Amino acid sequence: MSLIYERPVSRRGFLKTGGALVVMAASIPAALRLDVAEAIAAGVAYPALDPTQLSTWITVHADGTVTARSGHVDLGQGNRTALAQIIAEELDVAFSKVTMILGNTNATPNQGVTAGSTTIRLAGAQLRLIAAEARASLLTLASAKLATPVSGLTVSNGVVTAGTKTASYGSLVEGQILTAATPIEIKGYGGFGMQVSVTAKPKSPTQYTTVGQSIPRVDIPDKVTTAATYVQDVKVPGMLHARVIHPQGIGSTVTSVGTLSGSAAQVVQIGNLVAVLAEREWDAIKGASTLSVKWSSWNGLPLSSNMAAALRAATAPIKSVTDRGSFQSSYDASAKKVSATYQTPFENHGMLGPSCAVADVRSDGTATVYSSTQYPQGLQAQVATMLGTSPQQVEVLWFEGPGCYGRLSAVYDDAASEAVLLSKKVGRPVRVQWMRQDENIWEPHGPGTLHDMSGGLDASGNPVAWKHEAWMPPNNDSTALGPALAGLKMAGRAAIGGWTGPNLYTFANALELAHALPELGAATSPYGFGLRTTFLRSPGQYQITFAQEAFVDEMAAAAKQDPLQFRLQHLTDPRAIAVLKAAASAAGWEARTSPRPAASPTQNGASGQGIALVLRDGTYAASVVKLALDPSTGKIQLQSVTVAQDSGLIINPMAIKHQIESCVIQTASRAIHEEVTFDTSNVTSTDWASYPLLTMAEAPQVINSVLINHPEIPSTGVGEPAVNLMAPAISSAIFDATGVRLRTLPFTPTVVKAGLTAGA
Amino acid sequence: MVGGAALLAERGASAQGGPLAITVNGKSHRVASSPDTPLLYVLRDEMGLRGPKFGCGLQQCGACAVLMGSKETRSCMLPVSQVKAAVTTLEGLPGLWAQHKGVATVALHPVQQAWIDEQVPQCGYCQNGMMVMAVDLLTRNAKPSAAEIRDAFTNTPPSAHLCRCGTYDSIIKAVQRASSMMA
Repeated sequence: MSLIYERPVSRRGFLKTGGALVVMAASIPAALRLDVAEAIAAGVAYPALDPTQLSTWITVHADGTVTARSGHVDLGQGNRTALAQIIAEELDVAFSKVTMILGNTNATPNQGVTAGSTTIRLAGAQLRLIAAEARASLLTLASAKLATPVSGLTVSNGVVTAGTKTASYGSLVEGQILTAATPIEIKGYGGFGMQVSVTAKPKSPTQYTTVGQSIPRVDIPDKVTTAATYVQDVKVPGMLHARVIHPQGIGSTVTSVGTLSGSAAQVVQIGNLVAVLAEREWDAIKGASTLSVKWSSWNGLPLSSNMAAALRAATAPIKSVTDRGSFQSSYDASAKKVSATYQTPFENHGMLGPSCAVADVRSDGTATVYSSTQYPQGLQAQVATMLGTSPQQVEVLWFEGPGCYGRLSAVYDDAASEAVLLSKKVGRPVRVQWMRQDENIWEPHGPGTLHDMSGGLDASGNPVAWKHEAWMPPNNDSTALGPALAGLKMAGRAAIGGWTGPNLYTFANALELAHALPELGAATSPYGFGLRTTFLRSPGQYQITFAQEAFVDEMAAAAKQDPLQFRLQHLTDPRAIAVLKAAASAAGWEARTSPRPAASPTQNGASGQGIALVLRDGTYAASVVKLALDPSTGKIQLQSVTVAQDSGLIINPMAIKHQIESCVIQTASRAIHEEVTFDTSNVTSTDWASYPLLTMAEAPQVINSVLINHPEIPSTGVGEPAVNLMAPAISSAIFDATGVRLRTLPFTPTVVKAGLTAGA
Repeated sequence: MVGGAALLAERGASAQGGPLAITVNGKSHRVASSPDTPLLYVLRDEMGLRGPKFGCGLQQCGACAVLMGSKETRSCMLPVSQVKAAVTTLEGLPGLWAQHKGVATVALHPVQQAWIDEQVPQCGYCQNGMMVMAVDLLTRNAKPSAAEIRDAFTNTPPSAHLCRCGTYDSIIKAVQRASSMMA
């Protein structure tokens, strides 16, 4: 066994008033400084989590090192590093002194789900205030020790100086828990709206020396040496390996499970949750592949090839997003009318490692769950509900996982939900590892959508009417698979589609409508869910932006105007204008109408440029894509992608640059290749052959990032904004190169070739 | 109220085993699993190695890659009984480089150092296969161009090495950096 978790018998107790310091045991490796382990090593109970206590968030150790705790996790974006930068900056300690503890329900305060570009914007802002209060509290202690008013103290590298006298932070706290000098107030604990109030004032960004620096990520060395522990690596004494046999059709139920003969594996059935468990993983895999489970037939889905018609036919409430002026009369009276329909497919998050979790449900009613969930406290509450117990009886320990991009955000962890039920049933720890087909079929996808666009121009080419009518299945269905299959009643759900994202353009007579559709197939499924979805990196806004930005390009073409200038004329937000201009300038944007003068759907190597803009959760981003096409194959070569982005105060430029590259490459993949296909029963794109990803050979030749820093504006997210740009910019660049507009994603070689042939 | 988890690491080859033996990272290992067990599960579950990852079980993504001799090989479908050459996993890359340099030990293979220098990993799950592929490529082609790197990571059978986080650009830079370090 490579890794064994020994659960200590000690139980967490209250230690708020004892005044005893939790001492770091030297024998515990730095990477494992779970405070619970520290406490146990020191022979004391661990204090209960109380977010109004400074010690819940920050421990200053006698040696001057600092442990800080966040309920958020690091999905590979660099959150661990960036949050430590914020803490080190406010505390005035060296970056290397700060260790972050993330996502442990025993040790980390609940700061809500790591999703929606909120780690820096919300959790980071909360930690900044807490760290400022910690610094003020340390200065209060120093003032007494050095017999000098706080106003006479200076701090550098964790050492307080008053004239010739000094005191290190470590010496100030030795023998006591650091208590806030003034109360910490928390409102809306654990929610998106959570507010932290402290008396201390954070630094001015002009004083920053650690924030704003490209500090190398602290998690990377462990990831290249295998020292990092992924949830897939977790092994628990007595653990059984499980493979779940998921229903044949989305709404199929078990008719018979069959038996295994001559196998070392055992079959476990809890309602429609069927699994094969074994001591050895390969025995579980073999058993699951040979067990002949019979399912009822279910055919509640439309074919993916008929998705558009199915969406249009669905009955759903229509929500008005924008209603400005009078669209219809202005459109009717316009000199030039443009209309088009855009379509996006269902898509996968596509975790490179399929779902995996370990659960240990014990006979005393307590449970431990090992998960790479985006929300440990959310999963803790869900597991407690499943087990009919209180959250305090359940601990969730977060581990590194394959990048999940929202897949584990609201559907916290399907594999964990299954592992919990199986562990309870067999009375042993259970590791559930999905196979590739489980993940491709059963992951909650990003929804496919439909968009009718209409625009009117006056005789001078000015837009006088704009309409965007979207048909949107839900972005999220928060059903956990395990309890649904097992027949457990969980909290109600309202999975309906929703529009995400503002339209920054000042077009007159604008009407924007969203058909808030239910989930495909949900109405006829015994489980209540159909083709499940959950938040996929900029959910909803990805689809809205594709249709909106590509259609703005169509309007510009109809107006015979440069697509950049057309946008700039109808924007007033200076930050939006700035990112567009910055992207265009860095990319060498050719100011002219589109398509280009020599545009041809048949010319080999035809090249074009496309531009797109988005405002996502406070961050502005614009992109210019330059590409070339081979009409004989339909292959797109991305020559260069330039992204300009303004996310307010920059914490770590290198991390932001890597997030932009991530957004660009991942959505180049989505735009060029990805589509979840399904028949009337279930998903049919079950592997990487039927659901291909972009390869290295297809990645953009060059990716340029332009970061616009606004230290005076609070930081906003960087993991999502740029994902919205590639699909529309590619659509517009293809149009620029060939004069042919492609409006249905993905732009696979087959689709491009057919589109160009039809347009020739 | 429940307590937390302390963590103990224990590495090394299994003490028990059957008649089948394979060489992994320079050491012989007697295989306890059945002969049809894919190498991946022997490496991960029996030997406690964590470099090779389960990504698809179909030889379609590259996360499970190891070196078989000097050739990048997918371990997820290869029955352990068919392993005919010495296996090197990510854990064994420093030893491979130490042997090449004629020194006792090195902390990191230059490819690993280059991966740190270029800050390649995001989630890191695919990077085992990417680093193994880089070592294979640099053994065959000491100074690959960007185009040759793209080609190797895409068109070497049985399938392209896939990254979902979008680190391809960083990988290309890191392979070229490693090439310089190894010259």
